[in-house]
Amino acid sequence: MTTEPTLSARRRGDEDFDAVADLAARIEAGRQASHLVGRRRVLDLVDDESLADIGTFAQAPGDLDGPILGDGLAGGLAIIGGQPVMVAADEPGVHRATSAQVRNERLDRLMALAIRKGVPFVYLADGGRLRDDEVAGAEGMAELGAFLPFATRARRVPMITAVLGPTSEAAALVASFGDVVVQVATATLSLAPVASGTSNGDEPGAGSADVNARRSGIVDLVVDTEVEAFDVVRRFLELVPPNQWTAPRRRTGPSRRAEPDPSIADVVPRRRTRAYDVRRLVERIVDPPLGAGLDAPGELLELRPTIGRGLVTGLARIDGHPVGVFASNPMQQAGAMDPAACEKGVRLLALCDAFQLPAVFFQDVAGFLVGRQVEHGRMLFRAVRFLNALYACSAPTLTVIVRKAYGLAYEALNGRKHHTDGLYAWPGAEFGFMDPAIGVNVLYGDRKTTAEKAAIVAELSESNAPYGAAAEMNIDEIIDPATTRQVLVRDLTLLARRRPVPIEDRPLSLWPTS
Amino acid sequence: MNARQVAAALREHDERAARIRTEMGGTDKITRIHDRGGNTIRERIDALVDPGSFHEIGTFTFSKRQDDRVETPGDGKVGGFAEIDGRPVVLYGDDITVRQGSSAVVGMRKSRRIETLAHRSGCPVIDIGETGGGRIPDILGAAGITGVGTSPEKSQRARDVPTVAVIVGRSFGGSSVQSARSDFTVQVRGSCLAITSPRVFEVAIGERITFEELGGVDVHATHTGQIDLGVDTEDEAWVAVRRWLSYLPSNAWEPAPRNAGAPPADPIDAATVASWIADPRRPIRRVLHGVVDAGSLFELRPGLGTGTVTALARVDGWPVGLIATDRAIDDGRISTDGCEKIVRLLTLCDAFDLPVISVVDSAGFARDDTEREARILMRASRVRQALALASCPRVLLHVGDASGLAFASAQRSGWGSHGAFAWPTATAGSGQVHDPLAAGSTGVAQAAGVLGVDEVINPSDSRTLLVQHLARLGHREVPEPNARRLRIWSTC
Repeated sequence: MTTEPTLSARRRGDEDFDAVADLAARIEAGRQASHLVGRRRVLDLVDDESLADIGTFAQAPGDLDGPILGDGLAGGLAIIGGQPVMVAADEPGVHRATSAQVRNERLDRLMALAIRKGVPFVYLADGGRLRDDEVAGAEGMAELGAFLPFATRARRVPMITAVLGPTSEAAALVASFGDVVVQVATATLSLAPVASGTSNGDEPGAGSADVNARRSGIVDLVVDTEVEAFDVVRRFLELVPPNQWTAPRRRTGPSRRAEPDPSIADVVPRRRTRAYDVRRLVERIVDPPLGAGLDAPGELLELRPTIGRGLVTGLARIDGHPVGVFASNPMQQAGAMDPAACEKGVRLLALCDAFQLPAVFFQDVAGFLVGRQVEHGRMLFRAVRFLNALYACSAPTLTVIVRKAYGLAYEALNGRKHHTDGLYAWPGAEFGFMDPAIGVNVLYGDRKTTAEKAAIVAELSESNAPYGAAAEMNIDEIIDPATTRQVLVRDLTLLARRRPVPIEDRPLSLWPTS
Repeated sequence: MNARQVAAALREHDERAARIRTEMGGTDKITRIHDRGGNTIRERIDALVDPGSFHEIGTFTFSKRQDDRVETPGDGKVGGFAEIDGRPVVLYGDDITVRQGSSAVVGMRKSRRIETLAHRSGCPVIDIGETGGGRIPDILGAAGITGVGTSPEKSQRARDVPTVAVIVGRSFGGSSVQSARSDFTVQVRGSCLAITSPRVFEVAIGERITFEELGGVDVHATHTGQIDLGVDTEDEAWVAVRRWLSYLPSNAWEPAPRNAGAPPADPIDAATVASWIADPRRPIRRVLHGVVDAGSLFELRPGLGTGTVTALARVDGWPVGLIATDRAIDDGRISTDGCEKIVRLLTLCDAFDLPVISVVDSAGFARDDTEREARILMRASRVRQALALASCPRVLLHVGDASGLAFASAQRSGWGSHGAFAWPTATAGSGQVHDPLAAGSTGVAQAAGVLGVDEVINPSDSRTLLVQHLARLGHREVPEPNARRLRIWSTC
């Protein structure tokens, strides 16, 4: 950078065309500064030539006569995949993207404008510590914003966070307000700053992608590169509506072969105790990526894939309709739900409710996980929170029971007709309070012989067939597995025409994002 | 029917009701309960409510199964209308003399009906729980399991009436779910609160664990936080329920009941302030007892996240919620459990429009690595969102330090707070000052200079100021229940 715009140049710019041109050149020079990455990231993310900066001249009080670099933040309105969005990116090259008055004002203003204009918000996080020299004292702290536009967003517009570098304190809080948080593997995300060089190499440290994705569950996805993170952002924005007052956008055109698919049934093993990966089922039902061909595997934007693995959650399309997918995964503990599975279910339910994305459940669940560890990990609270979220959710819901439906988990995974817009079971499905093999021992212990127990198990199993539930009109229909997608497509088409639910009647919009 | 026949029919009816209520599921079972020092559900209800105020509904119910009708009077649940301290409540509980209090179609219909009546009549609902779960054989088979379940309307209740659960025995089914959906849960020592019985663990995964280890009072009071209060005896539980209800309005659209009030037990004067500040532990309860009415401090979840105090109390008779941080424990840093306590109190106070007074002396939020699974970010973020969305009055009393991202910072003047006051000795700052001269003073006067607090006050005036404030707030326009956004946050 040869010359830097000064405060006086900016003032003259109003009246002096040459100065304006000069100023533009100097801003551009500032933007090209090699140590700046925030704005470059925004340009990498958004459609070409689409960024309209907001707050270019926001400067720290001490920087007014210096270069025009923004106060540790870049961003403004832009277009992603043809859709308007608001993007804010931490600028670690300026004051290390630390939290201070003007920077936070800009961040708050960008979110406030996103809500006013009804556009999704993208936050690229890389910073956040308090700026010692500006806000360490009582006065500085008193002037620091509280991120109220973020904390009161109430999901009026969707927000996605990509954590791209060491992120803590104020930026970590802002990051946590996202509906989806994706973290690059080399970045950290934690409330307290992670001291550099303290990691002992073996154990993943606080804030690491590994801890956040596998243990604490504070991020939804971990990716290796920024490019992949941006791809997740684009896919998310493509699937959710831009705001609560716009209906979900269906992608028109052929999505998958219209005929029933007899091979769907083969995904679920005939032997009832055999494990399988439910993703193989989901990808037979949801739409393939655009241009991949009508028979290609369907595409699921899976969230939190490495925690609470008894339940697979994600966003997908079915015949063009964007949906939330909730599928129990028998690959993991017979599909039993642990507290983390409940939490990720709640998170997606909130998104579905806020933006009226139909929630589609695929059920093959042995129950809630049992044992000291999960009980002491607040299994009761998490399970009931899941139930509370399910019953509060005003979005359409559909359920297909593909194999097992046991215990309270059967109800939690939308198994009761009272709250379901379509409740179906495959012919081989089984419903019960507990798996018969376990139930017989709970009921009779040592009071029956092995032979007697075997007979009881057979009897219980027979009574668990779906026809008992269908006979009492407790499920809507027993369907041919080959027609599963056709049934869902029919219902989704009908449900897309129903009367819109007013924004104030979507309670989960207000539930916390964390 | 002539008069004599009518009189006979009525007499027969009275005898029948009395028989059902005294013999319940069998006198032998009642004797067994008494022999081990226990109480039947009807005795428990009588012990909880005002004498003679209980009016039962569903006395004459029985099981839907033809074979079980004679043996299932009340179908395992007993409940109806009553009064507590002269205020109407509805309540129900599990009757373990009838099929161990297990849940079946008619009994569940009864408890659901009672809940519905509570919501329709706007009075608190109390569940006295000890059900092992769904009844065998009623819930067997596909028809059985799909015919029972929890009540969706309980999940959707949005705190229109205060909801209380008392866990008095072994609870694994409906009473456990109900406790998680309650605003206040008390558990009696010797009982077990869990979602699955340890007997099932043993069969399913071979894990052996006692009822006490799995879901006893100590586990929940100090580790899981799935109860608000653990007590040693049932009598203590009834006292706790009556006390908790005394702070709450009967429903979201009535004001909370104010009483005559009382002076604080331990007024704050210049000498106490001096000794308090000189004490490195700065015991926060000393300050609390200096501002609230004597005898009115009722701590919630006292054994969990102990660096954070949440409580109900009264100031000059006004019921209030209290949030305070205790310097003696990790410099008053707020832990994940502390965050959950704060959120629970805020949701309650927002739903029933109780003012919240925060008394802060905190070094910020707990550090990641000392916290359970690094979840402090999520919980701190949840506190921020709760504070930002709450519509109940909030008053800040900043008595000590408030560093870093301490929650105090989210309540200062202008950020939805109804009053932010600080003692002259209070400090605020980033908590990471390397060069104090460059950064400016951490003395609270600096914050007051830009109106970050409304006023710096003499500590001895704290109580008077709160009293005046609450009196003023008594005139404010109260947001409609539907406008109180935290009332639809989950109870758990």
